Amino acid sequence: MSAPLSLWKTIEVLLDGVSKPARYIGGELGAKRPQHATGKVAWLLCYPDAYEVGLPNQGLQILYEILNERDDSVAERAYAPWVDMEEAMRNNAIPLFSLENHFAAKAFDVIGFNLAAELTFTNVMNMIDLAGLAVRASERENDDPLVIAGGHCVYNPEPLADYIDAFVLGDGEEVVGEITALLKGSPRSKDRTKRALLRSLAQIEGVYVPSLYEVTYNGAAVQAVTPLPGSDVGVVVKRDIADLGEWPYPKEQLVPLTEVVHDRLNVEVFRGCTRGCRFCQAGMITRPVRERPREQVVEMVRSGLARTGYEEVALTSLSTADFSQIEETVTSVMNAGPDGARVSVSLPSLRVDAFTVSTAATIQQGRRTGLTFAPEGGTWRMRKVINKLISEEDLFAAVDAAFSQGWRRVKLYFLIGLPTERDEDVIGIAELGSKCVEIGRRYHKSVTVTASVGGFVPKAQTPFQWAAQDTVAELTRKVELLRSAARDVKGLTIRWHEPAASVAEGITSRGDRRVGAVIERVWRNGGVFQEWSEFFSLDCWQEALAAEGLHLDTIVHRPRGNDELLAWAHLSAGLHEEFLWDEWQNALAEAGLEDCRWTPCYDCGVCTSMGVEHVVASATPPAGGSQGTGQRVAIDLRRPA
Amino acid sequence: MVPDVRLRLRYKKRGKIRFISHRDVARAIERAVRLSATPVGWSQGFSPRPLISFGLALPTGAESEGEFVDIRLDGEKGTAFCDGIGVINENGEPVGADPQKVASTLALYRQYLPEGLELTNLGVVGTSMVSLQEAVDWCDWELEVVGVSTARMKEAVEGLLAADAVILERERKGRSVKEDIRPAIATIAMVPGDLPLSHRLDVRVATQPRGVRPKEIMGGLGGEFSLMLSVRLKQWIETDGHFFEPLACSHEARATNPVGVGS
Repeated sequence: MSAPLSLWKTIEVLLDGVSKPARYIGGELGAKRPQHATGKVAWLLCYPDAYEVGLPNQGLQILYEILNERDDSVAERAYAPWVDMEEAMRNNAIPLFSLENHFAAKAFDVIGFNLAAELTFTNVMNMIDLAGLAVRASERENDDPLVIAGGHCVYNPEPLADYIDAFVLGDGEEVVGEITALLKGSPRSKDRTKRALLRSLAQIEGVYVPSLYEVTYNGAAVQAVTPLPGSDVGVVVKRDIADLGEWPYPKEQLVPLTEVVHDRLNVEVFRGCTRGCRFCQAGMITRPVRERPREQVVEMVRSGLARTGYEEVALTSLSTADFSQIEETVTSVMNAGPDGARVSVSLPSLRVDAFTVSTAATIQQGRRTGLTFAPEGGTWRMRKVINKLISEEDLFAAVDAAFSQGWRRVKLYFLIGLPTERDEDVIGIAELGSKCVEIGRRYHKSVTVTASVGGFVPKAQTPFQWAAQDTVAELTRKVELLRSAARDVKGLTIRWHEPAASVAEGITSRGDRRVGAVIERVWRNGGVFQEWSEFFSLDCWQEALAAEGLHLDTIVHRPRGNDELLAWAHLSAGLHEEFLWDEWQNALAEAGLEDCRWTPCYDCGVCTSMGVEHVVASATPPAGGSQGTGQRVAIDLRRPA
Repeated sequence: MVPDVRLRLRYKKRGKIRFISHRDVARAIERAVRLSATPVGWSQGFSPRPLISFGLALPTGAESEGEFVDIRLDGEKGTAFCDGIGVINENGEPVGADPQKVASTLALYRQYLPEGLELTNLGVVGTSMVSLQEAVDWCDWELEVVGVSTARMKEAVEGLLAADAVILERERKGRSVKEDIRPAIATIAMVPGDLPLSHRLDVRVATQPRGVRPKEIMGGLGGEFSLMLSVRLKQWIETDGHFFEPLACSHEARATNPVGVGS
């Protein structure tokens, strides 16, 4: 299609009256100048939250580059306009627009969303509506843009099934090209038959077209998910790229003109994690482990710093301390700055052991402010249930190493509301925290230990997908229990996540298609930006549930049995359902499971069913620490805490 | 010990980038200084900062024809870096410059600055000069106003100029205070705009003891007009009635005093 008109002049006049107008201008270093043309498939890549949250998203940036490098596609970006801007846009009939050319969203062939958090789903609907499209997929026209979504939340996309045309499961690097090729052969027009297009789309591996399946219900549960006659679809299995080294993206990370979260260079060092923490959706759905070659990491850091002018780089992954030769890599990276300038390295996810602290000490030569560990469970029993096999000795050794090497603040992450949790597990958090304070006092007069607790939300495609989630009342009681246990411990601070927000997240994380109408009601009642405490309201969700005849008790707080058909059973992250169920039973039996990166395969299903395997430079586990490496935990998993 | 040298940059802020804040501009310039490997001086202390000082803040949304930033350079390396860049004289003009060196240094920074922050000139600041923030005495603004008849606009401008005091509520450190903005407004000249019901106001305001923002001028005029665009055209330093810019525009001859200062 011919080039659309830029809306910039009409947008510009609104910007004097809104907060942070820099969110809407584009122009970041690394931003492309896509030239739309007939025969080029135009993608609008959207992150359904505020610009400063969405811009750093690496997944979106990777696809943005890949699509703009191709000669048959272009890609632009959009983020959720803040509420003041949304009001100004609606008052002036300005639709959702792209940041590069300031084109209307409707001028694109594909509108793609990255779904990284369930509470952004109301923003997804709002952005589809702002684009000038019907929010329900079935009501959109043949020549409307196709609305698709990817990201971690699509492993149970059912709540958005009636609103999104297609979901993409797994790594997007390859599949965006395949979708582009298909759309090139089926350009937008009134004559295009959407159903036929969707059927072809569903033939691409990893693409799930929800409208090709019919869902029936039996009370609170799903009775059957049946492919429509002749649709030739079945269980959709995610996509995995086999070799991260073939995808050195982003090559030109976006450097924003205004402040955003994680404002630093980010280099992904590996994808996937097989530590096997049973609560962790990311660790289950991104298997196997695929490391980036060390030389490529160093080169990406070197060129990234020289191009962006950043002084800080984060080596990202789900557990960066597990990267083979992490020490050597960190040392190389520290010296990768232009003209030998000092580079500050951050490892966003530290493993809990003294060895990791010495790596942290290497990178924080200067000021040592705070160090964060995530034991997740307050007692050894609890940590066996969740398969986060950190012994107390390891935690205390890590904390001792941190305080002895100059840190004054230690932050500990925990979950409450975990399956089988007893009050002693909750109080155990305070006891651990208190012992950490004692350790710190050996080295410093004044130390701070912060225990940060979040309410556990069971996620699809994990061993805990069958678990009952705690109620707001129960989570609140546990927070109070913890606070009173910690009250007299000087130096120990308890922070907690709003229990009501965890419960609302639970509605969408395991809801079925019927929850879509609930989300739509919340959105229609003004419930946007639910990730933001100033806008979040559980009452709004409760009212919407009631209006749809649904209940928190059955969606969120109800345990599922082995015989129940889960709402997302027709979607697969490659994991055998028996593996997940066995792991659920292992959890209830308080039995741990080793990391298969360094120990024999226990057949979770991913490598065997998908024809991929671990890509790790080192066949031996990192030195020090028992956390799931199989070195010590295998000897006696039932030893007392 | 080699004394520190200060390098002054002059740049425009135009187009879409007018919507980034003063703080964002500072970050962009710090980034350019870092990427260009300028031998910048560093502050002492626990967390050293590059010694870069920015002039009067430009309100977010305003354009500018001339903004300034001073970069303190480090000792000998700094002196070498500035060799061939002219020293700014009492008229704000760099003298003794090597055109080639100036061009290459401008090009060095330009490749690292975002679109819309246009570097136009640079010069070395004499050691005796006071900081940018304190040095500038007057600012000239061009304000584009729409949605009002010529008669009504004229009435508002004359009314403001004739008033002894114009009291406005202003936010100051999070608290609302009443202040008289009239003393800070030197002149307002009205020019017909390109479109019907549009006008251009050429305004000169004082910066000391406290400046007046374009939106506050609109408030002083009665507030029912739409301010489409405000452009800071000039920043003036006044010494004994002599007006000059902190650093002249490269293609400009001696700075002149275009409008007589009234009040």
